[in-house]
Amino acid sequence: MKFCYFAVHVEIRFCLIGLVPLFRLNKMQLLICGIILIWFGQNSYSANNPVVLVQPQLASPLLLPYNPTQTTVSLEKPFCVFDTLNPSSNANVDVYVVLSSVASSTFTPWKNYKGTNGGSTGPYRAASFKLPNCASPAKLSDLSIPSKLLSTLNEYLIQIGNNSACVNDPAATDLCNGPLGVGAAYRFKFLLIDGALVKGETSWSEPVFTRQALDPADLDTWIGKRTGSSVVIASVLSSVTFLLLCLLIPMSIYELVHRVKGKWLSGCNHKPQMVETTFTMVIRECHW
Amino acid sequence: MAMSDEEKGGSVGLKALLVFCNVIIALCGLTLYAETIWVATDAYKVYPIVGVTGKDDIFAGAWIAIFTGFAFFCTAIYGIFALIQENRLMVVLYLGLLLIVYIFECASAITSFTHRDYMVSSSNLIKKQMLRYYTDNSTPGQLITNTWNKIMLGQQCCGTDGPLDWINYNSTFSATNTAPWPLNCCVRLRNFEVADQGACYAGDVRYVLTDGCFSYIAYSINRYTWGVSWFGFAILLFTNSELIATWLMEKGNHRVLRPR
Repeated sequence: MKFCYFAVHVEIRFCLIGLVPLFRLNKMQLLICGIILIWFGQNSYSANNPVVLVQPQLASPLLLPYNPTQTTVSLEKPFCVFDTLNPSSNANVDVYVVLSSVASSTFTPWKNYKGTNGGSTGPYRAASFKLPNCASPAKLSDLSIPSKLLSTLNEYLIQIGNNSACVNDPAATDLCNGPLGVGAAYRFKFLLIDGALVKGETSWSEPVFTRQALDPADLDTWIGKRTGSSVVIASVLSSVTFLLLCLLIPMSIYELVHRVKGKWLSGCNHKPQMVETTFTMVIRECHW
Repeated sequence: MAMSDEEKGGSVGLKALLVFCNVIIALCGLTLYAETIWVATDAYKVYPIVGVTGKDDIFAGAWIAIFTGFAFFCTAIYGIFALIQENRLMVVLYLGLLLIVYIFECASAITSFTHRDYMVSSSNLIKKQMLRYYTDNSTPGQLITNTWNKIMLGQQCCGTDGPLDWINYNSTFSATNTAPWPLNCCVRLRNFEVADQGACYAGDVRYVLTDGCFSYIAYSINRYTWGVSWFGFAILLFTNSELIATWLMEKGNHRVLRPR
């Protein structure tokens, strides 16, 4: 069924936008196109869809301070936004994602991540979730109960770009919430899908920049100023050592010279000698 | 020894003081020895972070100080004997030995402190290393990964400056993982089970550890440096005055003993 829709939409765009190929079509094909337009006009994206003048919002930075990351963006789910359109209880909300630079007021829905090259050629359908229950929303107090936390978070938030597995999976053709580009501006839109019909939509969000990935090589590892402690240790120790060397080296030289001279002069014979000096009598010992 | 009473009295007092100083140096040497063994055994388990930078001067300084600490002890004991014996050759030898040990200890103190500045003057060096090596398959990569896992788990911290490190920069981790940050950045319960992995990876502040580990690493390295450098510095200044005093005494004795 989904494949059918996809084909139809491709056809419609072909008829509407592909003006050059239009004259190549024969009357029969033009007729078919016209019939398709009449049949599926409400289904194709057009200004006829009621637009709710609400923009998708980023999750509160108080709750998720690291949002958006390099490849993901967490949005608040649209609570009570589509109430004026009287959605049925089993209505779904689709999230469409597009690079901000190629966003336009009209687009063809149902495209997927691969078909639009991750939103770089047009909006793609990134995620689909059940319309949040406006009448009895999940209790915010449940956020403090660990067992209920994740389900409650998921009630309120939708993370775009958190499925990198489907990007290289050939089987995943329909819904792929692939990672967003790093450091790029994206816009988001919620579409209300009731049954198989697009019943309403929000405006495009403001551009949301995913986080720029910095190169760790750019980190400046320069030490900067030496700390005072290091200067003190190095300078005090070196000057004090210099002082010590100044004292001890001459002393040892003097000592050596004196000993050699003393031994040579006195002819030391390993016996203490009494020597008379000017002031007092001292024992002259032989140290060698 | 026939000294005048005055000279003898002064000399004995100075000698006693010097012996006392040597006892203190011996004790300080033992303390330095024990303390730098503690540094070299790396009680805070941050050696890989220091070692993978290619320099481990803090620990080299600690190893030198293990040697000098024990050498201070031995030399001081020898010095006590030399002073008691009043053997001038022994005292001169003691001075020479102590000077050599002194110079080695200077090297240890200065090296250790300059390397501390290199490591922790800003968090960028450690951050860069973490981004480069965390979850890398190489040997240093495994060392760094283990070290960081232990630190993040034990200290309840995440990244160098916080979880933003992991999502602001390209890293080996981000190239191979879809999670925004490692699992050890997630808050854990008392039994060390991850409290809520989904909420942690979604970035819920109550389930992500928001503090960085840099303060812990800087604290460890600072403690090591205090042990090796500042304690060494204190011993060195004390030894220095003791050396000069011994030298003066020696000089004084020399004048007394030497015939004129």
